[in-house]
Amino acid sequence: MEKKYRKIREERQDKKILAKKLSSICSEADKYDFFEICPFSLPKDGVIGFCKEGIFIASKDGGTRFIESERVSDIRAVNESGCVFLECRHDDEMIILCRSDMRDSKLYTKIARRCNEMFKSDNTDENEKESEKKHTKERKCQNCGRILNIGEERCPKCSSSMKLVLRTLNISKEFRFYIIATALALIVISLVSLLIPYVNKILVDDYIKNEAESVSYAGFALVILSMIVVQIILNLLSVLRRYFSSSAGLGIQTKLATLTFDKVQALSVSKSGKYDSGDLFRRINNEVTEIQWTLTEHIPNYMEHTFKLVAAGVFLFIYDVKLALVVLATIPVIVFLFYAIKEPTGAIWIKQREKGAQSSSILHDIYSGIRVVKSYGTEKSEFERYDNAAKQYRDVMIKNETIWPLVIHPLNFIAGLGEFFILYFAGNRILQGMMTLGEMAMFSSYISIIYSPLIHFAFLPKLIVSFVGHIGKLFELVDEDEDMKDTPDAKFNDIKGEVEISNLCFGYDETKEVLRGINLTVKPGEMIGIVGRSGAGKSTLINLIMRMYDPSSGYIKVDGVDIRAMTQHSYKSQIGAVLQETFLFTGSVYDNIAYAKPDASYKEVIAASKAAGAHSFIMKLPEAYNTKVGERGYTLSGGERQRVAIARALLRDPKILILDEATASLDTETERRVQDALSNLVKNRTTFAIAHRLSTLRNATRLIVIDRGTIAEMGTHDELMQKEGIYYSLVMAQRDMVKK
Amino acid sequence: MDIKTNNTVVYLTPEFTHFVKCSDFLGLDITCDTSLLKESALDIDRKSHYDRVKLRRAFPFTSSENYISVLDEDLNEIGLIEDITVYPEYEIVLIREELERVYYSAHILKIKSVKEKLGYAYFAVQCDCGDIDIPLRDIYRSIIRIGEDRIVMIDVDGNRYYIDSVEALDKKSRKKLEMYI
Repeated sequence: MEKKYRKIREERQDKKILAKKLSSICSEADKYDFFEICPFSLPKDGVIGFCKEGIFIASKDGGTRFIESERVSDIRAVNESGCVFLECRHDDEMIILCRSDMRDSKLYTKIARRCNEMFKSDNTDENEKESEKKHTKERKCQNCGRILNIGEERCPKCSSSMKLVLRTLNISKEFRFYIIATALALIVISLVSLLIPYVNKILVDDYIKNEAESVSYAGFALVILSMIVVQIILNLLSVLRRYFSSSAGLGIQTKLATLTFDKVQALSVSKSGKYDSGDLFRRINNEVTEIQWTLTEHIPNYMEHTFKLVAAGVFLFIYDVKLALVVLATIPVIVFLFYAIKEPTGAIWIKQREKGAQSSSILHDIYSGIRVVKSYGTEKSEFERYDNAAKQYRDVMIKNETIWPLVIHPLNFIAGLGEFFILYFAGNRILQGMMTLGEMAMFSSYISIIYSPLIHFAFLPKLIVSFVGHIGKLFELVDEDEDMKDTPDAKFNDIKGEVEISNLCFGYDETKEVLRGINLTVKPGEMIGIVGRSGAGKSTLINLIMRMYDPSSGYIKVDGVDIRAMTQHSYKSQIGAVLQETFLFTGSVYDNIAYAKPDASYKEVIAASKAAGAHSFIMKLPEAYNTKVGERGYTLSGGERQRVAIARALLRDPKILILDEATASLDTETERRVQDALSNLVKNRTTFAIAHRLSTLRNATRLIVIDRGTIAEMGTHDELMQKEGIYYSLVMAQRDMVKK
Repeated sequence: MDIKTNNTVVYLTPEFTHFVKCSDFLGLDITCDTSLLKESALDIDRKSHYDRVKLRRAFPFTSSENYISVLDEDLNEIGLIEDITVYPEYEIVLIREELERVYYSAHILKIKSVKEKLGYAYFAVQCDCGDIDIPLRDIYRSIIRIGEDRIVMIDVDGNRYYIDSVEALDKKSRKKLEMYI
């Protein structure tokens, strides 16, 4: 974000400034030593300070309030629509401490957590605290290591325009040979091309204009020959220049793309989930291509124009200072004119691009959902939706195509007036005998060498802005904090499958907890059935067990080792998962099963498929295990895909198995077959299984009921039925449904 | 008593519900037999008094005073208010106050300048609550058209800024905005 805005934000949350503000509103605040202090903005600006003695609230309109710490508990940050509240329990009653706009949302969450820790009696287990502390990471800039402030998405130091350009140049370091070679080739091209007007001048003055008798034909031939040689040199140099600049540009492009792709792979699900797949695709492909295009096309072109302009300018000054001054005097006018139209014309093209993108996005939307459109018979209204967008696009294009010539032609004419002016000036000199015809032709050529790139220079600022924009977007992703990076002392552990979950809390958004205080110990080989209403936190719990995310507090230990102390590769390679939807990669059935173990032999794959009940249907496919599946491949049914997934999991021979609604989308008959395959899979493995159809969990050793983010009930089926709690009501509801 | 329900949706009416002020929050009294409120098997145990209820608009962009969901502290729905204006004046004030408190948004009156830098756009605007600078990330997704003439901008933090009528803006502001809509 821009420096000015960043500064305003930093100042707003600066503790020293806030403390001053607080004491300026109420001098009594000076008595207290605040460990946390934060602003609020609604309904009036104010400051709230937290100290050992209690909470001090001062509003700018003069209102102050003090609440003693012993009467305060359960401080919470509550996000609403467009605003955030700090609430707490005051004696037995919940009260609102302050309210602010969303700028303070993350700060309030942090403060609520810290204040609860400070106010409550500290009886937390020491080991737990130690483990938590070890794995609580400060968010750091990946580039310079600076600790990021709350709400700061990017490191301000590393995202300034100049810094971004320097970082790109740094990445380009290994291609410096090609970059320097490009620059040298451009310098030589510019100098050689300046020779052409001079040779022309010799041709006109010494040969064409002279009487036939005095012309030396050998000299004439030499001039023509030299012109041919210059052209050959220019063409050769241009080929070389293109080779050098493409090698540099494409090398940098590949390096940036790899860097970005590597980063995307390294990011946790929550971090990469911030970007939709289209956005990631655009950043890896489009932004990188734009950068490459700028590096290989625009920058060399501008360099060439600059060299030519400078060289032609110097030559003109050496040859005729007065005329050179006349030529240069018109340049600022031309540049100013083009600069003046840059903004408005840029805006109309942006609008055209956006309208184009809108209409193709609607088209994409309609065709992605074509089955829904057809089944609901809404072709007409969808046609109107697209037609409307296409018409808007057409109207903007017509408007632009009308405006553009109206602007550009008069402007070109005005810019061309300078040349006429110089023509008049030079013509006068010829008439006075102060200049030859050849010299005038030469001047005229140099003038066009100087004038022709000027139009491009007017668009240079825009090019720089968009280039910095592209690299900014790319580095935003590259600099993304790797929140789940393996610690340096992370080890490879062979696991048996004993899982211990202690005081686990987690929220996808740091301001909202999805799971709270989960405690569970699972022996190796046990099967735990997880049940609960939709949105209760079941999938979140298994995502944490799979280490898709790290808990906000608490820990998960496997065989007594915190899973954050193991390398992700070692831990995840011992986990198998069968999810509700199985994704098949483009490739053969064999490739898809062997995905879990790339070096698996045919024998192993067949054995796994057989145990998964997949072998028989695979053998009926046209090319058996070599049948292509995935996009543009053979389509497998839901049950078949699930059995491929089970075979995949079996092949991996995981110690911990995750089944997330593995049979939910199947019909009863297919489900029975998949269940048989699953019973082979779960044998002797620690298994966590989520199922809405409770009958599928009949083999579970224990069942846990998750409700509102906590474990509400735990026990065997019979125990929970006797309890007549949530599990009982879920079972009864399903039985009623079956009866109906 | 005839309680209007639609499957499991309970519509709250002034005949059997009264909104009251409870300390800093909005409370609710239910005066009918709570078992009359039909509920689904998994629904909540209904009480006759709630110290704190939360309000959520079902259609926050298009309907600010109709179809207001009334939730308990655990965000279980107690019922829906079809139209808040059927309640007595005192209760309407309480409901509006609560809605305004939880749905905070500023209304843009004038756009003074727009600056784009590094994929961010900075709108310097004049709002009903004063002059504000709005930083937007991913400009075209942060400016959402709601209806023909209304726009909402959602800034980097999640704050919302409404333009109630693009047509009603002055010509200069409209021109600055036009590029992005």
